[in-house]
Amino acid sequence: MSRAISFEISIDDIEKQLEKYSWIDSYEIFTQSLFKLTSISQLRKNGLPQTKFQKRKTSGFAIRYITTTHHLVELSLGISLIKKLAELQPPKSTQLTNTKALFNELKKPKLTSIAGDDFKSTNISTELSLNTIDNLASLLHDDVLEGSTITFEIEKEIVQLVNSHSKPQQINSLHTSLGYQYTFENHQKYLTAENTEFRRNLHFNNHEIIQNVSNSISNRLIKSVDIDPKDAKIVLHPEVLGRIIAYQSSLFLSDSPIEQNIIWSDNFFLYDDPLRDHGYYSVFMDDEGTETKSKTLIERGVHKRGLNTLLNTKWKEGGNAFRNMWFHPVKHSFEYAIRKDATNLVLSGGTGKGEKFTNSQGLSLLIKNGHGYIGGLASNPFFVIHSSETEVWRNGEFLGPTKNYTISGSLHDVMTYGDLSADEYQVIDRAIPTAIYIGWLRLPSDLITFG
Amino acid sequence: MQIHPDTLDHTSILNRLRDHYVDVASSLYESRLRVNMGLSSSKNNFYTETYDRGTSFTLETGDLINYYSTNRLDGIGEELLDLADRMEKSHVANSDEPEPENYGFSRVVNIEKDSPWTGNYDDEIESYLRDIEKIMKDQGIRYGINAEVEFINKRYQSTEGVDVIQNYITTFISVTASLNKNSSKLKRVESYGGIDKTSFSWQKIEQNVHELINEIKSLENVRRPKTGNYDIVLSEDTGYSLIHETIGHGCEGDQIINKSSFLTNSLGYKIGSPDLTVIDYPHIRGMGWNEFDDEGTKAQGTILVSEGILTGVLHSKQTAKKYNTFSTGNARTSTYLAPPSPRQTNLMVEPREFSNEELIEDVKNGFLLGPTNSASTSIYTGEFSIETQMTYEIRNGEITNLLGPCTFTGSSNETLGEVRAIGKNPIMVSAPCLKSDSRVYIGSLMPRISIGNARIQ
Repeated sequence: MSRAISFEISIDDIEKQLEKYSWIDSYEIFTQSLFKLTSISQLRKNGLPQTKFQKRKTSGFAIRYITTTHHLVELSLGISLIKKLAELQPPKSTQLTNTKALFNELKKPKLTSIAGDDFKSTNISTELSLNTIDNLASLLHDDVLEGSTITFEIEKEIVQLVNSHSKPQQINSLHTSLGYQYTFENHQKYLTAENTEFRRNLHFNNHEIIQNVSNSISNRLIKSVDIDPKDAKIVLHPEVLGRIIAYQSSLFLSDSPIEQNIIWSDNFFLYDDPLRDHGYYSVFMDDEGTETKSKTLIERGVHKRGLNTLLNTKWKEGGNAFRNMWFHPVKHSFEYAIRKDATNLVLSGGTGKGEKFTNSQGLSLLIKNGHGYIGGLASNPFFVIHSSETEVWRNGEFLGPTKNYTISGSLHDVMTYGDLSADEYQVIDRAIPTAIYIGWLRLPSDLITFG
Repeated sequence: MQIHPDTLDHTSILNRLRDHYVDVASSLYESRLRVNMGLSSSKNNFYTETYDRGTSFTLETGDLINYYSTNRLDGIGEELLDLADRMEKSHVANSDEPEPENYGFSRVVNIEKDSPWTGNYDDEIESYLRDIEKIMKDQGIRYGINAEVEFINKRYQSTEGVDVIQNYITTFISVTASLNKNSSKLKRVESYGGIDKTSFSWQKIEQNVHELINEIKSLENVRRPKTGNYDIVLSEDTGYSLIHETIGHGCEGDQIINKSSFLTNSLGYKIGSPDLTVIDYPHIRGMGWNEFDDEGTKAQGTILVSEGILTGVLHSKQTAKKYNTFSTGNARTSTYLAPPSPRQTNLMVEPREFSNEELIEDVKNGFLLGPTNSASTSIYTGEFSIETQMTYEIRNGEITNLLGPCTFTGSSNETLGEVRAIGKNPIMVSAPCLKSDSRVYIGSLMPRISIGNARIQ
């Protein structure tokens, strides 16, 4: 039976090469074919939009093999380098980790697709891109065409995994995004308002995308209000709170804690939920072939566990082994070594609607957007971000924008003393391959240092 | 050493594209072998090799630009010609475009022979890491030692007659010592990067690793500095973080053109102290080295700040065209899958006359900030934050106590204006730079810098 898939990666050819080597005891093959089209249209009032297309096609494979001397070797090759498999040498004795285990048998996952993923019915083409962009642009008024940019991205991926004891398993996935950005001038400063929807299909809510940008523009054109932030309750929008948690996630994802300490409020739970319907990073099998399942990382504020790969647990438990990389144009690739990663992080335990947080008595400082989350990549819970969209509210009334502060604090403190809403707002950051589903957080101002 | 297969020649495809109404067609071919090796006290050692080669084609017609990247190196001609035909149909002429530069040259730059590694690279890298590991093991420290070595073969060709091949090897080694303190982890990390043997002198690294071990042991019992405003001295590493995050990113042409940089409309204006001169200089053999950028432009030095005045912008061909000027040779990309964009190469701050001791004496009471743990900036506002791995207290002009990490934050415009003095002994700093969805290595020759009234959180 031929095992060829699209983009012409032949697992048979790879297996034939590996089976030639008597010193290879068992092996695992991961193949990937990826097609990504990014279309960026700069709209103009008088004339055709300027559209840039970035079309990326890449395919290749990664192999891991265990030798008869119990060495584990890992090699990734682009599709044009398959001939390199004819030149493999036995590993040198000092080079690699010893492992006595064999690759586990791959079981056919119970699920074979993720709810909401339209891989089968969607074909990537420039016409599709132009139509999608035109549909959104047609809803814009003439006065906002100049200075507007619409970005549409569509990515199809086919992954196959096989090992020396198993039949191949395949995952197909579709990821899309549609965003609208508008740059405008206010008091000799340039400001940008943007909104992007991330989907597993083409069902974008165009009206909502535009409405969000429009609200952001009108709120920021109102006269700025000066307050002492210490007098206000602080409200973190999910776009801000989600990113803080995503960028600090190594704190609670990498290692299972030696002691199960209370780190957050006892109302809060944090899950990794890889099978979430319509989840942006939902997947039913990880890159070592383990069926994925939901895991409770933080339960009633107690840090219970981290995430695992088969390799780091000596083949006992996996489910979060992914060939992911942060800050790369392709987030998931045969090129990257396996690492532990979250899929969809879901924070629960909150109550009520977050939008009502600004209705509380007295002043509220709403931080809607920010930059500089990379500063939170540290190994401690301390974060610093630079707010870029900050609003003042009083008793539920919007008073106006205010200055953008640099705010810092401890993630554990804000998650211990803050009030969380029950929303599950989707936050996606292009730099990192984890989706966050999270509510709003209201804090007393003494938990935050303002710069 | 023969790492790469024959370098691909895309001349015939490019010429066919030119016949299809494409104004300029170019290709950036990359063959890249990446070796990652890691040793750790938890025995999660690893060794991986990743080998890929692919090409990114850029087709320009009027103001339409198409990028096409692929690692399927056979049968790409027809698909590209189809793309060119589509572009021709939607071509909008633009007579205001600046005339292209008069390109037309070919050159091979091969400096891989200067690398610390030969054809027996796997043994050599391991031996180097094992020597570092031995020091860590002897001291009973929890450690991680990682090396990323890339063997790079690039070829840029264009219908303007440019044909440039560059072969070089980059190496980035990081050594981490860590310990748990309360519920968080304390880390000391030292990184070494470069493209030639001189960056990896064993004597220097051995001394640094011993210092790192002593420092992590001392950090267990120290407190964080108190929040407040202080006079400070930036170590070479934190100095690099400040200049890189503020001036480096602020001067990138795409940020300026998109009006997203806080330095937009600041060219010719004072943005810092008159003592401050900053140059982007690709010809130093640091991690940002290149002779030609990823659009085939001859790399050059660019004075970004001259005595406190903003004088330069980092351009690719695309951003230069919109700015009605010429590329500065700063188009860089980490992979054939991403189009090049304006990035820093090696950043230099011009040294002044002060010794490191004189800088400390001058501050009198304040802090010397240790190496950077992480750093970021809001390019829109110029607000930055730099978290250090450790801090030294300065009292009466002398270093007295070692303290824990601190966060240095501020507004670029205010902070750069508060530069009080600059040291005379720059050292080479190497670091990865993350921007949007791309990661490149940057080098830097950086002296120590003292700053007044700095905000420490």
